[in-house]
Amino acid sequence: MGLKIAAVMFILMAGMAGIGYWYYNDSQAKMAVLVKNAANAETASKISEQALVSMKKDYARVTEELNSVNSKFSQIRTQNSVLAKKLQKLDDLGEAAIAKTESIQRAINGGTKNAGRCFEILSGDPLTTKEKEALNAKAFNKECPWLWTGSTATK
Amino acid sequence: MLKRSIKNVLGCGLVVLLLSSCSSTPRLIEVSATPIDKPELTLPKVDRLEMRKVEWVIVTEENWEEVKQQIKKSGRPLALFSITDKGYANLGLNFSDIRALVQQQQTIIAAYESYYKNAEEALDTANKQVDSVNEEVKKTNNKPETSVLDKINPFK
Repeated sequence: MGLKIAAVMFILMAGMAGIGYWYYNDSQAKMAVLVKNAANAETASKISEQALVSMKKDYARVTEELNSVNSKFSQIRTQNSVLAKKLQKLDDLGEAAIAKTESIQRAINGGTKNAGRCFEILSGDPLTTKEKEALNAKAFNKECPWLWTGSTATK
Repeated sequence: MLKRSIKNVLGCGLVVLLLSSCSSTPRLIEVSATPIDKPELTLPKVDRLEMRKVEWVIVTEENWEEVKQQIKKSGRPLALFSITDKGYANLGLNFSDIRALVQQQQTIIAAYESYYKNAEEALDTANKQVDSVNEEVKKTNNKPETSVLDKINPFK
């Protein structure tokens, strides 16, 4: 009788130990997966944080570029109004042409040549030696002095 | 009596065993982000302008005969394409407007170029950061698991 009880108890204990062992292994496996999931969630969170930082930087850059373009446009508009102001000063170009035909003819031919040269420079044509060595913007080109980037002439 | 107890214990054990097998291992979430390289756009430069010579001749009542003789002498047909002083001023202003437009277009192209070049660099940096984070996570995930038994085992 005692032996039977001992055998039953042994079977019971062995069974419980087996269940305990299985439970331990199973919960360890679950924990490992959960740890991996937590790590992956952390990655996703870090990546989205980085995306947010990158987007903020992009917006800042957009604003910077927009401000720069607006400022350059303003400069270009000012430059473009130079000729209009010049022509306004010459109250009556026709009368001036009658009074000083030759000098006005020389001036408008020079102006036309210079204005054409401005287009050439804007299209990427390399500067001539005279233009490179011009000591000031007016000497560079009277029609687009703002394209002067400085003199290379050695003093 | 004893037989019944044994049956009960074994039965309960079986039920516990069956129930515990209903639990499953949670699904492993995989996160992957693979950047794709964009092909670089290389465009040709615009054609260089070479302006043709244009010569203005001012014709007044006083110099008309002189101009006429000069044109005849040059062999060109005596036909003058004339504009008034107002027309000349407008032509000059139109050219000035076109020049301003070219400059504005160049400014816009430069801004686009600068923005997208910077964006490209930022994207590369972000991709590198993502790679490093992924690498870190991989390292954490691939660490060999040590059980409690291993930890307390003095012979290991």
